[in-house]
Amino acid sequence: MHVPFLLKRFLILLATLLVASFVIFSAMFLAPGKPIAALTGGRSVSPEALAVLERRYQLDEPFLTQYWNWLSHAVRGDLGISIATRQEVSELIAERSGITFALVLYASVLIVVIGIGLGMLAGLRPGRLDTALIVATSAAAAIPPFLSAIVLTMIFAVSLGWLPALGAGDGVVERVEHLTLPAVALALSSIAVVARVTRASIRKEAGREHVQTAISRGVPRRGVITRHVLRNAAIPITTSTGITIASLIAVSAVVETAFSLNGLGQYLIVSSNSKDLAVVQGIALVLVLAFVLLNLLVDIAYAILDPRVNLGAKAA
Amino acid sequence: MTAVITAEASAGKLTRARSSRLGIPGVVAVVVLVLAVAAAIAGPYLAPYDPSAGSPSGAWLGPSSGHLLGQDVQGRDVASRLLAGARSSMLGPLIVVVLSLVMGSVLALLAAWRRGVVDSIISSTMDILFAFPGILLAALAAAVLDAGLWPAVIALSVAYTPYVARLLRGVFLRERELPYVAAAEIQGFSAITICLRHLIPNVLPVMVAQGTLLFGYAVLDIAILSYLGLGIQPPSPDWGVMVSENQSGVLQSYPLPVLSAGCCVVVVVVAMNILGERLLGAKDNER
Repeated sequence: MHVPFLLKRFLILLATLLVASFVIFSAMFLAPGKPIAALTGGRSVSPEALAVLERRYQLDEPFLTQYWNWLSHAVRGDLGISIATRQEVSELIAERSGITFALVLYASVLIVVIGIGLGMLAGLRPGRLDTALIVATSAAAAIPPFLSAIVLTMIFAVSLGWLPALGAGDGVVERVEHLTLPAVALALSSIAVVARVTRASIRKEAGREHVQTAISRGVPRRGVITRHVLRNAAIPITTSTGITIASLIAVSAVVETAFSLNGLGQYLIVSSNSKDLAVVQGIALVLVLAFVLLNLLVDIAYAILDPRVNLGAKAA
Repeated sequence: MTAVITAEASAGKLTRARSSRLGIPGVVAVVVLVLAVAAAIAGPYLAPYDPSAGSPSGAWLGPSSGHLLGQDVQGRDVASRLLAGARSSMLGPLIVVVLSLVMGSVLALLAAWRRGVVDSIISSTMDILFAFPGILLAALAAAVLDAGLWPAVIALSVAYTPYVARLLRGVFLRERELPYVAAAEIQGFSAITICLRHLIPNVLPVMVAQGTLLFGYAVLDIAILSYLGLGIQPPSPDWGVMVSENQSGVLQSYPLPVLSAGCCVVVVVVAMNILGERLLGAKDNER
């Protein structure tokens, strides 16, 4: 029963990646500053040397051939050579993906623990805490990540001096210390979003008839909450948490820039400003891949949590 | 939006009826919006100093009677730059909202009206577009074109379109099933006439509410892109640019320019969220 749903999802994923790779490649192909100009560095080069360069980088082939060359190499992990550093793009990406991965993972843990935790507290206990949470989350959801980065730096790095403000640090302990402020800055608005969704879905489920019936028949409150309220509320909570976390992949660029972290997002921005097209292509491809894979995970979680998904074909 | 503002302006019963529905937060949000729009229109003329004229001796000077919010990294008056920056910080998002609403609603209308193959092509294209976050599209646009307001605006408009299209497709599908559409079809009105005269006007309140929410997100995203160097370029006065220019001040315990620019963004975004939610709520109450 699981197979058709997952197979369909997987095919959609492949199609998305194919189209995404085409869009990314053709965008770079259309760029007015052709890679050849970056190769020669603006110097005037004899036509013969230019032809050699074009042949070496296969820039004289037709568009679709070039796309196919690029894609077949990219699938094998060869993303070409950075024009700025002359290094392999895949190496440059591998060096930096660790920080971005750690940052997004750290932020995801914060979102799941704090966001869902606060939302559950507020959802299950209406009252002052609940009102405070609504006010706090609607403000926090509107704070841009660069501003939360700056305010956190001011408080915890400059005034209190508890945590470092810049760089990524070496070793596990130092790395966690250095990534704490960035991860909080990255997670802050998402925590607010997830807390709101959690609270709303718990409220909705708690108000349903079968829950009221169970309570009025004297079923212990704890059992009702875990078995009926949380079980059903878990579906929208998982979906929205997953989608929120997937969106962090791109936002990490902002936090990495604010905290001078040498991650993928920050490198994407630097490379796109310096027109290092091979790097931009490579990172864009990796980010889209990560985004699509995370969404696939969300879909799988959704299928496991919601038994109706498997019957989808019949019910529809 | 404009309906609300004119209702606020006209005194008497109308104002009371409107404000009771908006609530105090809604009224505050409208006031913020009016101020922000006023700054966007008249800001450069209201600015007490030339927003781009600095003096090295004035760098990082704190608030004084002449400079209410102090001076920035290059000794420029922060308040003047905030006022002058309101225009690009608000105009960019406005274009994003208009473009994505137009593209999204045309696609949604096509999908809902023709259904079948057209619908599935449009819907799956939108699904693929979802995989491109706004920042990624903006980085691609900045690499292809030169970084500036236009690449950022185009990238965000494309990134927002699938959200608009998905939402409006559902709304249009529901509207399409209503008897009045069938009645108009039987009378021989063309699809375009029915859409322009009946469908779109009926759905307009949802589009306005959605546009209000989108505007808030767009203000945030344009500020983020300018901060990253993918949007408006320094030394142009812009709220996102101001944050990135003055970021070094934070470590030197001089955060005022950064915070004041950041606060402008947050205040406008919160106001737009409140307004958008109220408008959506008002729409729900009517049903």
